[in-house]
Amino acid sequence: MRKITAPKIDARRIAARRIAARKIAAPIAAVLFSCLSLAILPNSDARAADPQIGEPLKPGEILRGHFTQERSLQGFQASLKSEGTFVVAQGKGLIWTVEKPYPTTTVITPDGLVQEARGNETLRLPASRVPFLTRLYDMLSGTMTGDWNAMKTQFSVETAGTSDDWTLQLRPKSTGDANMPIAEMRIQGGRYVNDVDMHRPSGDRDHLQFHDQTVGSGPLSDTETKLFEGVAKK
Amino acid sequence: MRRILALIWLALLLALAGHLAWKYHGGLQFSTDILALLPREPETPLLEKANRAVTDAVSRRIVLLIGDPDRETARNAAADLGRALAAAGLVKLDADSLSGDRLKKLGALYFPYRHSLLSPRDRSLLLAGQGEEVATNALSQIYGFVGLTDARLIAQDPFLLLQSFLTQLPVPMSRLTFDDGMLTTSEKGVTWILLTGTLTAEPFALDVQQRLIGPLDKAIVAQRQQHADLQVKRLGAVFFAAAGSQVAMEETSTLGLVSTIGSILLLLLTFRRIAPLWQNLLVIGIGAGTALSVSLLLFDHLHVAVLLFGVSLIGIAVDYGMYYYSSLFDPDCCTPEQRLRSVLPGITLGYVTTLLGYAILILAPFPGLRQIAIFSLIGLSASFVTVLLWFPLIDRLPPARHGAGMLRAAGLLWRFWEQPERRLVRWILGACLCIAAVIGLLRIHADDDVRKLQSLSPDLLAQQAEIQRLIGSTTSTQFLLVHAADDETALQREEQLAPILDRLRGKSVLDGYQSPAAFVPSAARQRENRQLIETRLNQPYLAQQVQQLGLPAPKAAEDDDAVLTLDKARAEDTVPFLSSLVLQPGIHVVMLDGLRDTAALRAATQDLDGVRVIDPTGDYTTLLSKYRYRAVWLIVIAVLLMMPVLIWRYGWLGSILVKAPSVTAITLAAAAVGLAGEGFTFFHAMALILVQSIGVDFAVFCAESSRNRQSVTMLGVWLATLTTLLSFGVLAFSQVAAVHAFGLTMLVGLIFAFLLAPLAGNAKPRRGLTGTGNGRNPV
Repeated sequence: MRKITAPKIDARRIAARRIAARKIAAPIAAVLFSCLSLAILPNSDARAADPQIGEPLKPGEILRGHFTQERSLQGFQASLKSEGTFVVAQGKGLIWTVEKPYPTTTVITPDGLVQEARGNETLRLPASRVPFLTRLYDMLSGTMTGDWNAMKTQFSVETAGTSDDWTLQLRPKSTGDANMPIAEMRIQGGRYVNDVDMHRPSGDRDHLQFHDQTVGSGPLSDTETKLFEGVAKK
Repeated sequence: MRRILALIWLALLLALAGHLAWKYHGGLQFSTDILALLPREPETPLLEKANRAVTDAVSRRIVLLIGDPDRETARNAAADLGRALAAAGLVKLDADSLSGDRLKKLGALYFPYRHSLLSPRDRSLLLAGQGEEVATNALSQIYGFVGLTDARLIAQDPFLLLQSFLTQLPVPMSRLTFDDGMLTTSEKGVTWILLTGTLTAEPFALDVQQRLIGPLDKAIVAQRQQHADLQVKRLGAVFFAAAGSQVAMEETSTLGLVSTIGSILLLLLTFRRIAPLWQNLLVIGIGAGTALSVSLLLFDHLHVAVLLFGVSLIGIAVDYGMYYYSSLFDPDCCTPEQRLRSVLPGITLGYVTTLLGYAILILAPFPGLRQIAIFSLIGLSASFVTVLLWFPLIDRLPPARHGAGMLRAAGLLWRFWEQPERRLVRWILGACLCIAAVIGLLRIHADDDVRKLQSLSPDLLAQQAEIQRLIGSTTSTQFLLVHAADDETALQREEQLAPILDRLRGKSVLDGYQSPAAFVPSAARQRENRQLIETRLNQPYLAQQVQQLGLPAPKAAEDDDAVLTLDKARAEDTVPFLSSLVLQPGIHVVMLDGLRDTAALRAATQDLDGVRVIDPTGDYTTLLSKYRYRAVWLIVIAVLLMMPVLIWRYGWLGSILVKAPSVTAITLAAAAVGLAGEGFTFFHAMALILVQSIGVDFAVFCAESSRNRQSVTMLGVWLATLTTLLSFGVLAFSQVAAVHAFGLTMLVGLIFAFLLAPLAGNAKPRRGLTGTGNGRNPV
């Protein structure tokens, strides 16, 4: 017996959207990446556009930290929690390592995105296949050099607070774009980004918290270098 | 009597001219696809259909790639060019074929069947009993980096099987993706936008080429004026065809100028009269016009090459006119009536033998060749009748008095062959030619590669390679044809084929393939998948999985006998590329990417029932070689067919003497091709047929010539040779390989046919035809 019920229709629509997930993943990753690397040196002097927000990473600098991620998904009894570490290397990219409950490593560089789980590659998105990624990468590098214009092409940005405790509110400029995976995003930080709250058009919500961030200029480990290089391969 | 016949002929010609004018008014269209000329082997109609469907689809594709460092500029330019293409009304753009809407439809199509679909990787894990691996992979993705999975789908598909299936669909053009509604790729800071479409008209029709490319080029120039960095690359048979026509037209204007001016000067200087010039043009014009008019009555479509070769073959009629007008210099022929009588046996025999030579082409199983044969037979006959009926009536010229010097010069060649004191020189010359012939014939090799014959524009070839590299499309011209009684059987065959192709991919024989079964598995495979998912995934791991995710207890499996059918998937054209892979129920195409070794593919697939490797270019090349071979045999048959006529006229020995010059000429022409290091092609063979006919004409003129007319005859042969060289010999300088091949063979063959013609003078006609030349010395 088949009944077409409302949730099922929804599910179909979501299934359709799923296909675009590979593309959707990229912008979210890039936005997140830029947020992470955004605000690390809060006490700098007046910066014309957005004085509250710190300076970007300098070339060669590496930001490391821990994260907890909480995904609240529609229809799930509990939210999905995971935690792990991340590495942002200026000019190289981002390594996102989930340690619990299921270890995965996601690496994002200008060449694309690669995900590994237990030694097996589970996803690979070359940047050439996802120009979106490249475009948002432009945004990202713009942000890192203090140029907010690139970010502002996609989002309207509101800032509030002081340089020790600031908030960024991002809203997509075009509301009708089916490919825009973010409905609203709130970023809170001080010296570093502390908290990112992302609302998806589907009603899902991703809440990320960061702690124990450090900025160093030390070299990347061999594993990290290998991971970054692995994205360009193939 | 002649007057009445001439008037009837005039009336007939006027009627045919009227027909031609009417056709022309209705818009004459000639096909320019060189492949359309070639015959098809008696293949099964099925293969024919598959071949034609695929070739047709391929030849109508248009691809533009528009690149600019600035994304917006590239996008705007692409939109502008898209409008320019659409405005021409000849192209159906399919730029939105993969739009977001299409993706939604795709998801909606597959979603109800998610319990029957497995990606190759998940399927092999389940087959190997590693269901846990599938489950953990899904969990890793769900818990992993934000945004890579979507909530409500997880609830319906906790193992992410559908996502895995969708992301592993074999989609060609692997480097492209959708960026805000446009297929895009980027490289080195340049954003490239892809614009594709399908021609709604015949890509090889000249007017289609002009109507499409003119506005497109204009739009590109306009865009480039605003954006200096804008690049536009193009790909499509229509562009290649247009470039080919362009080269042909440019050549026609230069080579045509040389040949026209040369011929006019030659005739004016020789006769110092205008009449022989225009009357010869009249003969050729009537021949070509009649042939065209009648051919249009007989055939629906006339190929432009039929026109080209046909008019070339009719060009032999110039022999008759030249031979006739050389009689102006014969002091014994004072009236047009006498002139005609003196040349009549020669041109009649020449006409009959040529007729036989051309008629043999009808036997060749080439559609184009048959048309050429019929076209030229009609044209040649019309020219012959015109000479016969009209020349004595329109010729008002008195005998020419200025020809003494020319006659002496023309006679030199004949004397060279007769003077006893030149015997040694002749022997040495003969030996040299023999050696050259042997060396040349030993070095001769065939080359039937159809791609070389087409002389594709190198610039467009470079653009094609660049586009294919940028969009990552390496779709091969070769493909696999799967045929079975119905779709289900065909899909099952493709599923048997898949592991073989995967193994070949592992060996780098090919890069990938798209088969309908990858988009819609067979019903049997779908049931098997469902069984696998149920027993090896759901039963052992589902409860655990949903518990881990905190999902409500799974609903009981839906009624699940539903099977996704090919018809359903093809409806509304939801699945990209699928429709182009299914020709009709049970007849499918498997497209191949980056095929490197056709032989290996053939070997690996030959044992599979109902699976065939189709290699259109390779097949055409094979066909060209078969028919080149056949054309050479047709020449031999033509030579033999002419013999009875020649034996009747000249006796056994005489017939050999008359035949020898033309046979030697074609042998030496073929040897010259070998010496030049060129591959011998069908087009060389076609020229040999013409050389053979002209050679016989010259020889017959000489054989029919009385001793005191030798110089006059030779002058006619001289003039015929020079005009023919001017019209065909110059083709040797063409850029188009096929035309060059034709021209080179003509050049060499004609020179020897001319040089050796007087040898036939030793053959003496036994019986009179309608009237013999006067003053003939008895043998």
